[in-house]
Formats: sequence, structure tokens, C-alpha cells
Amino acid sequence: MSTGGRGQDTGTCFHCALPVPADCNLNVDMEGELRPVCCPGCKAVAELIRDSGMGRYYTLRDIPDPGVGRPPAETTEWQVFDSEDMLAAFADQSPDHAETTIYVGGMYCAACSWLIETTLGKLPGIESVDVSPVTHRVRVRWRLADARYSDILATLARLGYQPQPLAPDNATRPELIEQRIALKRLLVASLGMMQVMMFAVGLYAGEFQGIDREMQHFLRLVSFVVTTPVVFYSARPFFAAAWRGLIAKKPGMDLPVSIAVGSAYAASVFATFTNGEAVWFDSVTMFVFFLTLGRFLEMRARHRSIDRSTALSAKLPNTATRIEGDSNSVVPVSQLVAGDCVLIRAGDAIPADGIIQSGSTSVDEALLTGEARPQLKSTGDLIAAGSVNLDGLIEMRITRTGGDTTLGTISRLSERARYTRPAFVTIADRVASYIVVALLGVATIVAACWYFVAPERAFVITLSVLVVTCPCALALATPAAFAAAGSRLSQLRLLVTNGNAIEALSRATTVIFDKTGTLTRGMPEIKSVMVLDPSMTERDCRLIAAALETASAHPLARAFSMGATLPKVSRQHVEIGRGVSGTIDGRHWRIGSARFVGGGAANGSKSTGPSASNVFLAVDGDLVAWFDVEDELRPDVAATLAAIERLGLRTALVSGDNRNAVKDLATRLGITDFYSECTPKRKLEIIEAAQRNGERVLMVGDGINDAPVLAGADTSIAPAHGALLAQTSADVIMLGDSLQPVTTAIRMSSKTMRIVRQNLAWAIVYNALALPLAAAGLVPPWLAAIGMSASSLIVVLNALRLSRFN
Amino acid sequence: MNEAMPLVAAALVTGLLGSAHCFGMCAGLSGLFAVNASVASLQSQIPMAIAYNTGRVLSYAFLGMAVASLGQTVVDAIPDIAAPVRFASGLLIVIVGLQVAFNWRFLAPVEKAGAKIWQRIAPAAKGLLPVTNLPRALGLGLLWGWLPCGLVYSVLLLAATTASAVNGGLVMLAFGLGTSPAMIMTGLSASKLSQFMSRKRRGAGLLIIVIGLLTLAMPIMKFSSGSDDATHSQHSM
Repeated sequence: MSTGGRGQDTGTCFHCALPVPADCNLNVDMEGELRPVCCPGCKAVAELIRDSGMGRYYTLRDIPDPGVGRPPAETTEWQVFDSEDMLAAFADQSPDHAETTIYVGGMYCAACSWLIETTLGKLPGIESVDVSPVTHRVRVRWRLADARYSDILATLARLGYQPQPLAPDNATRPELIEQRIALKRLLVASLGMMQVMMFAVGLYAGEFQGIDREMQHFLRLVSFVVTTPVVFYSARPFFAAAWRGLIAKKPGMDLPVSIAVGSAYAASVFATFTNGEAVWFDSVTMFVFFLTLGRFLEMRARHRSIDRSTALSAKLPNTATRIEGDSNSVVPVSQLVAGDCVLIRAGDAIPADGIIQSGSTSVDEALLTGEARPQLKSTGDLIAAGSVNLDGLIEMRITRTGGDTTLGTISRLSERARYTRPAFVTIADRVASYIVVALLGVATIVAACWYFVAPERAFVITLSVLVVTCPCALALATPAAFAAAGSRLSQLRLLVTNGNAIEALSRATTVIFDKTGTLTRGMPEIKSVMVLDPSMTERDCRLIAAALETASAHPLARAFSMGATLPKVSRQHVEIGRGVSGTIDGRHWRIGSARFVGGGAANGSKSTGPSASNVFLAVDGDLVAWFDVEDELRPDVAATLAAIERLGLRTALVSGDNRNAVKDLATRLGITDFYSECTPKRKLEIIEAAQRNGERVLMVGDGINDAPVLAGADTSIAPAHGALLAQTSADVIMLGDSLQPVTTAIRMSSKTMRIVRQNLAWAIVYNALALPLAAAGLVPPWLAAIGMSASSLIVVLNALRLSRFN
Repeated sequence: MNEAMPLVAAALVTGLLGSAHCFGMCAGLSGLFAVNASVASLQSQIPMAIAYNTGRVLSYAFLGMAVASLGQTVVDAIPDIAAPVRFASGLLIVIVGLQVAFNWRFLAPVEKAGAKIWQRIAPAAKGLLPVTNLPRALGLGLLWGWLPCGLVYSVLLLAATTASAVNGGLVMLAFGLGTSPAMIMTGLSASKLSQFMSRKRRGAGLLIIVIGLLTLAMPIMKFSSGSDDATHSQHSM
């Protein structure tokens, strides 16, 4: 399969792609052409496939005719990657070799990976090709002298795939390496365990049937040879962790594990060479295998959530066509800066956040918003990195690149959660640490007791006690569940940015919603303008309003933004949640709520619907105009609120809007508890009052101009508003247009905590039962190893149930 | 039972780390499943692969029992041959190890003979393609066990030297099980595994050779320690 470097002159087998031995003259007749095969087996299979009419399989495997599928990619597009800069950025280099990972879009099945491996392997200078169909990644290693990066990429593109080089500093790398090493350790442990178990069966059978000493000695010797790498390679992480714990004076659960493995191994080696009573190589290998397996499964659960965030970055293209005066040039995306203009063809991913300069198209924003329908965009509209340009040719001026884009922010926020350690886990760890110390004490007492009662059994029983009571299940109970929950939530378009969020959500008793931008979409529009001052036109009012509102971050302010040249404002002042004042041409203007503006505005106030708000404009104390600003409700607000009430939580609504608008909305949605014309300070007071009543508050709001409100609540969920995402301080962010994820988050959190409690209960019950049994000498070491592993496996599997949560 | 353990172990390692060649053939086959199930998801492929492998392993075990029974007949017929046969099996393991390490084909002629047998079986196998359901996958596996393959033949020889139907079956079972992980995981990571295997081919071969040498050492150790070899060997079989 890895055909690299062998050259084609010897010929490769038509079926299995390995070199055909020189003395082999076998052929298979494929549609009139004789193809070489390497052995009768391959010949038989190839003929079988041909005769059953499955010959298509080979064509699927082979390079499709040019012109089939996607048009051949321009090779020039790939040549960018041959430059020193690009190689340095995307590949690991040694003096003669380079190695890189390529994300291959459009890879569907095992045949694809076969195809990629054989085709790339046949290129000159390719040393190895490693395809992972599940993660859609190809790892290639080539000789710099004989092959070029662009050849590899162009070949993949010619095959009809969409190659995307991944930079080595990509977040996947450390995980991949970690996983590869863990897999190797697991492989060694499993191989060793199988072998040693077989010898052990022989030894146990021998104990009953009688066995001659040479045979026994031989089997022990072989077991020793096989166990050694298992102890020194597979179990090394446990020893290392135990040692670290000792140095830090915080004994972890690896300590009893290491003592058990180390002493059992040492005693067995001693017994082997002194012809002692018994050896425990089987228990040692089994113990190490199950421990390694448990850790491996837990790691997989943890990594799955990372896979998603790297899938986010995989959506960015690597190159972009930059417009430079009259000419265009292809540059790496990393070289783009804000202000550049780029050309985006149909089918390309958007390389950075920006504004369309010319052209119109529909884009797929599913990655960012979960919205599957294409969104129409034309000149002046914002488009976000990572979305895909579906049909038109557009020119875009870049506003933000790299980590500053919405996509980059989302990735960074989900990183943040990974590095905050939930308080719950820290407590569990500390408890486990006490248990470890207690356990070592108990083991010592057990050893001492048995030493006086039956010295020959003391060692085995102590060994069993150490193994069977390993608090692994206890230590895994919480992190395994949290990892699984986090990963599932991100699939459900909920980004957890704080490790403590899940626990806090599960305890929430009250949900307080913000109105604008939360229950509504946050994309306000001016529906009508009522001008009271005859000397002014509607346009005058809008211009002045737009100029004043430039200073405001309030969601409604966005309704006023205009492309035109705005009058200059001096002494501009924002009162958060109320309005903006400023001086234009010597006159003092105020825009905002009725109370803020004054001048009899409150009398003019009227409601035009539950999702509409009135914004007033006054000059020198006289009301000039009012605007009906409407922000559409999110589609499933009513259903979500009903679902939350069904879960037994109290709902409330707080808003800075005028009383009538808020009341209308609350009545329509059946919310009895609502507060209007709230400043951020007032919102915080409402939350604190609820908390004094013993309620635990989940605040759902965008937090853009009232971050302290989110921070004051026990936990918070914010809808993602593209541009302002980076400023959010919410514990959980929901992507997309729907409000329903709030319910999902609450349900998921209580389910997670239920599973955590089950896991903890199980771990405690298990240890409470196993300890007396083992201390009484009723559990042989091998059974102890199985019991311990089963208990932690149950915990991990129980946690993984969360990944199917709906 | 005890004495066959090193053989079973050797067979398992041979299967597990066997040769890159086998993986080439296997990967192709599971690709075939994928092509047929037009919307082949990994989840749907795995039960198929398991059924197919069960069939294949059963075939191997059956073949192992058959040749080992033959071996038993020979050993029973010729009085003093038991010890030399055991020596021969150690030697065979070493040869299998060499075969894996250097990709040699000692049994190419036998493969040709095997191809003749396969010609009888091929029509039946053809009837089972495309593989659309589990029974078909199982059936194909059962037949696949008869594919001409040098590695299978050498492990079969090893099985024959156990001269006991049960042990012969065990040897082939272990071999078959050893080859299974790669086959079942083809869709998941076989390519990785196969590369790992081909890189570690020498190491795998060496490991098998060591087991062979240990097996050879056993009768010698017994002989030199002067214990009653014949009675024990009968006893433990």
C-alpha cells in the first residue's frame, strides 16, 4: 500500500499495488488488457471482481478521466505553495525531506483513501502517504529534490478532491501525536496481554494437571520477556504521573497503580529467576492494558470536541486572489491584511471577514450560523470568513483577518472552555487524592494483618487491594461526562466557553431574557419615520440620527447606520441603555428613549407591535421626530419559552425598551414577569433580587452593552451576533437564528449532571464493595484487574451516552 | 495444550503483523463493500466486515483442524516421530518469521496448487457478490478462507505439526483472529496500520523468529535436563 519510493519499473500489482516479484509472471485480463498481479491470490480476487461485474471498482480506484467531476484545478494556483515561506508555514522540513498534512475535501469511503494512497504513492519522490478517511486527512512525506508540494496538491485536485494544506501549528497536531503514541502503547499492551494470557492459561492448567519445572520455567521466562515492554513502554505514563504527583506532594491515582504494577512485576521477575511460588505477569499485563484502554477512550472523548473546532479552521482556503491595481495575484491567506481587495469565485470559501465591493451572490453560512439555506448578499453586505460563495463572482474588501474573524473568534472561545477547569473536576480530583492516601494506608494495614495471619498470602492480597480499589472510576466520572457533553453541545451549535457552565446551567431555576437581539434577531430596521418639525425632511432626521448613533453599541443603533456622509458631531455622549446626545452645528441633539429625550416625547409614544420600539429625536429640548424601529422576533421564541416553563423554570423578561412595547411582547409570549425601560444597572438589580430569593439565574442576553449583567447572573447564554462575538463574556454561545438551543443547553446540563452523579455513585459503591472483598483475600489479582477496568469502563461508556443526546 | 501455546502465539503474531501483502488484498476487499453499498457509512460497513471476517476465521480454523488431524494420523502411525515433529514446528515458525521479515515466498508452488482449488470455489464466491447483507458477507468470508495464499499455507503447515485437531484449529483460529483487526478497521485506519506493519515488517519477522527459536529451545532444554520427555508430552496433549 505504501508504494512510495519503490519506483514503477518493477511493476506493481494491479490488485494490491505492491511490487510484483521479478520471477512472477501472473497477469489478469481486464477488459482486454493484461495487467500484472503479484500472486495467485491477487489474481483470484481480481478475476472474481471482474467476473462478478464489479470491474467498476478498479476504475473508481484509479484516476478518473480528466473532465470528469470537477474541472481540473489550475496548477498555477498551487505553485504558491512551492515558495520557501509556504513550505515553512505548512510543512515540517528536514534538510532533504518535507512532511505535511493535507485536509482532503470530498473524500467519502475506503476506496477514496485507496485511490489517494496509490496515486500519490506513484508520484516520484514521495516517501510515504498516510490517509485517514475518517478525519479526511492525508499525511505525505516527500524528498525535496524529487517532488514539489504543488505536484501533490495538483494531483489531489486532479483526482477531483479539494485539497487544503494544514499548517503544522494547527491545533490538531499535538492531539494527533498524543493519540498516535497512546495507540502504540495500547497496541503493545494488548499484544503483550494476549500473549501472556495464553502462557498463563498454560501455567494455570499446569498447576492442576501437573507441569514439569522446565516447561513452567520456560513459560514464565517467555511471559517475562513479553511483559517487560508492556511495563516499561505501555505503563510509562502511569509511572511518570505517579512520580510527578509525589514530587508535587499531591499523590494521584497513578501512585497505587504504579506501586501495584511495579511491585507485581518485580516480584514476578524475582520468582521467575529464583523458581519462586508464583508469577503475576498476566495480572500485570491485563492491568496495564485495561488502564491504557480506559485512558485511551477518555482521550478520544476529549479529542472529539477538538475535531470540531479544527473542522472550523479547515474551512478557510489557503490562498486568495488579491486585486492589485490592474492585475491580480494569488497570495497565501496569511498575507492578507485588512483593507485588501480580493476576488472570490463561485465555489470558493471566503478567506476573511469583509464587505462586498461589487457583485452579488448567495453564500452558505451553515458553518457559522447553522442556517442551511443560502443567504443572498450584494454590494455593501458583510460576509464572514469560512462561509462559501455559492454562485456569483464577487469583489470583497477585507475588514478582519485570521483570529479576528468571526470564525477565528468562535474557535478561540471554544478553546477557552478547554482550558478552564470546572470546579467540580478540581474537587473530584482533590477527593481522589485523599482517597489515594487513605488507600495506601488501608493497603499497608491489610498487608500487616495478613503478614501475621498468613505471610505467604500477604503480597498477593495487598496487590489485589491496590489494584481493585484504584480510584480511576472516581477520577474519570466527572471529566468524561463533561468532555462528552461539551462535544455534543458543540454539535448542537452551542459553544461552551466556560468549564463551569454545565454545572451552573443544571442548577438554574430562573431564566431571564433580554429582549432586543435575544428574543428578536438583533437586525433592526426603521419601519417608519414621523417628522414633527416642518422645517426638516425625513432624510435630514435620518442623517442626524445616524451621526449620533455611530457612538452607540446598542442593538437598535444598527438600524440607523447609513452609507452617506454624515454631519460632524461634537461632545458626543452615550448613556448606556438610554440614548445618545451630541452637538451638531451648535445645536444640542438627543436621541433615545422617551424619558431620555424629554420634550413631551413620552406623550407621543405609541406601540406599533410587540417587536417594535420607538426611538425619539429632539433638538434643544424640542421633539423633532420619532422612528418606529422594528426588529423581527426569532422564529421559535414562543415554543422555546413554553418548553422552558415545562422544565419547571421561571421565565422573566428585561428590556431597555418602553413599557408598552415590552408589555405587548410579554403578553403575547405569556411572560407575566417583565421589566421595561431598564438600564444595565437596573437589570443587575433584578437579577440580584432574584438571587437573594434563593433563585439561580440564567441570563440570556447578548451582553454587548451590558456585560456586567451577564457576569452578575449565575450563568449566561448569548446569541452569536457575528461582529460583536469577540466581546462576549457569556458562558455559552448559541450559533444560528433559533432560540431553541437555550432549552437544549438546560436539558443537556441536567442530563450531564445526572450522569456525573450516577458515575460518582457507581464509583463509590464499587470501591466500597471491592475493598472488603479484596482485603479478605477473596479477589485474585487478575480478577482485581478486570474489576477495576470494568468499573472505569462503565463510567466512560455511561458518559459517552451523552454524545447521542438530542 | 501447553505445548501448542508457543505455536498459537506465533500464529497470532503472524496474523497480526503478517505481511503488508495481505493488507493490500484486504483493504481492496473492504473497498469493495464500500463501492457496493452506495451510501456506505462506516457504521454499516463494520457489521459486514465482522461477519465476513467471522466466516474467514471459521474457514481457517476448519482447515487447521483438517490438516492437524492428518498430522495426528501420521504421528500415530510412525512411533518415534513426535519429538522430531515438534522440532520441525519450531523450525517452521522461524521460516514463517523469515518469510514475513523479508517478504520471501517459500510456498509459491503450493500457491499455484491452491489456485486450482480456488477455481472450483470461485463461481460460488461470484454468486455472493455484490455483498448486500450479513449472510452474504459471512458466506463470502467462508469462501475467502480458501484463497491461495502462501502465508496461510505456511501457518497451516505449522498447524499440522501440532498433530491434534483441537490445537491445529486453535493455531489457525489465532492466525485468523490476528489478521482480523486490520480487516475490520480497514475503513477506519487500515492504511495507517498497513503502513505501520510494512515499516515494522522486519521487527515482526524477528519477533516470530524469536518465538520459533524458543520453541526449538524447549525440547532441547528438556533433553538436556534429562527429564522423561515422551511421557510428559503424551500427558500434556
